[in-house]
Amino acid sequence: MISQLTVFLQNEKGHLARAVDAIASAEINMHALYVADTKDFGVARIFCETPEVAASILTDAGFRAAVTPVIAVRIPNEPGGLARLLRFCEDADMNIEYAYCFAVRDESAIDVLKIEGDHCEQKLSEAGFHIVDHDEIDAL
Amino acid sequence: MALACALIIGAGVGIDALMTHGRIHQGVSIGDIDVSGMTVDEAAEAVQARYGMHLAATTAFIFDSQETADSADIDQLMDEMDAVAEQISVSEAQANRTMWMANAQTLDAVMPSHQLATDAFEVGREGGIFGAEPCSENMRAEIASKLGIQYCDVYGLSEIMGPGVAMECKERGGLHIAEDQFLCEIIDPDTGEALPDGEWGELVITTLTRECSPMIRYRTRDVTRIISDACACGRTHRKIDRLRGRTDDMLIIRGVNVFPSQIEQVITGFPEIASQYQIVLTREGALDAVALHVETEPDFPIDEVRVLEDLKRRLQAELKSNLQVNVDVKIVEPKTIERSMGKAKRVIDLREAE
Ligand SMILES: [Zn+2]
Repeated sequence: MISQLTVFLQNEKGHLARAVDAIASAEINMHALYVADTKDFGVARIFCETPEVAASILTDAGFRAAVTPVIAVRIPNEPGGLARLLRFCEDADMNIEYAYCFAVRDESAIDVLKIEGDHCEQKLSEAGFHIVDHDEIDAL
Repeated sequence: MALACALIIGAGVGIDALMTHGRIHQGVSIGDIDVSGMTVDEAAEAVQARYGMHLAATTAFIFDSQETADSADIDQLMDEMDAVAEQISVSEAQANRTMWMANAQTLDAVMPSHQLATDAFEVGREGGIFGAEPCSENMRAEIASKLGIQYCDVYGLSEIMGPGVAMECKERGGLHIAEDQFLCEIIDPDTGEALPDGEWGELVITTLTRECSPMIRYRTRDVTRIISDACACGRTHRKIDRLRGRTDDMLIIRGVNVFPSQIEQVITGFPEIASQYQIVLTREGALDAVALHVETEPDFPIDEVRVLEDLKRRLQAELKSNLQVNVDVKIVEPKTIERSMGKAKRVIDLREAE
């Protein structure tokens, strides 16, 4: 599991910018940002260095922020890469809460999954998927 | 004949100041000795030193302050204490009383200093009578759990007699009215029409025994209802429900009367929601629209949209069934809702301005 920074935001002008500013002013580098939004609120999911530090900075700045454990899988950046992963999850009866992916420099992509249930990471690893650990994220 | 009449008075102070273990609570005095913070033995010693000599003389009256001493009518005071004792059970009388009397005659003219000190120690350790109107459900629970006592709500108003018009019993299902003293009615605040028991409206009080400036159908502006069901505690006096607020707090939303306290009560049933809230009223075309802004507690999981949406839906459904009005719940970021120690601005009515 790796740590993702999660921030609750009101769906109003300027709120995402204020959150990102707070992270930037602490000189924490962000790798990826994904926002799930509804009519009146949004949840920003962020991949960054030192997510625990970022969460406490945001909390101090008045945001509702938390660190969420998620599974990150590295797959080749080619057609069908994500489809294979999702098919495996379905066959293994893993219920995906949400997923998003981002491409990295070395022609591969990182898929981030929040899955309900236990031992999902182990099952994916045993099936041959490349699970990304903390060091790999830090090296991005 | 020697008669000692000692008054032990507990004065109201903050909750944390009252957190004393093995020592008498803050604000408690025996006669004119402040015994707060003392152990039982220390207090007994102090009482003996101060009043032991007086008792050796023929008659001693001990009062909590010079004012009481100047104005007291001993016979009337005794009558009042008897009247209180008649209305409540012995164990409750011990839990609730704030005034003690020791009869030295039956004690062979010995100052019962140790008993007085023990009584003083018991003040505030079984039950507390609280009259603060804006006290929320959470605050009541906090007071009760921090002090390890039962929280008893008391109702009164200075125009009638101050605290004591009605008081909660240990069953907590409303406040028994002192019906031998007061006639309580509920009326529709707009029409003045009397309402049957069980319906919410404005409380109107007539004093039955007051000879000087009696009040006849005095409009309190307090909104409650009369509960006439038999109470498990055994008292036969009817009860009034916890006050919903003042008639001036009442919001009329799409023709339905809504009190902010009703919304607060629904929120109390959701531990995931923080106690701060704000009601925003706007006009959408010809209709009133109500939005309720709430914050989640810091440990509520914010990562999943589904969980947040579900919380919002459940709160909306509960509000609809309690208020008969559709409320649009909006979960906002922390500290968006103004905090204040006193009366927070809970309602923002933008209907007039539009
Ligand atoms: Zn009762």
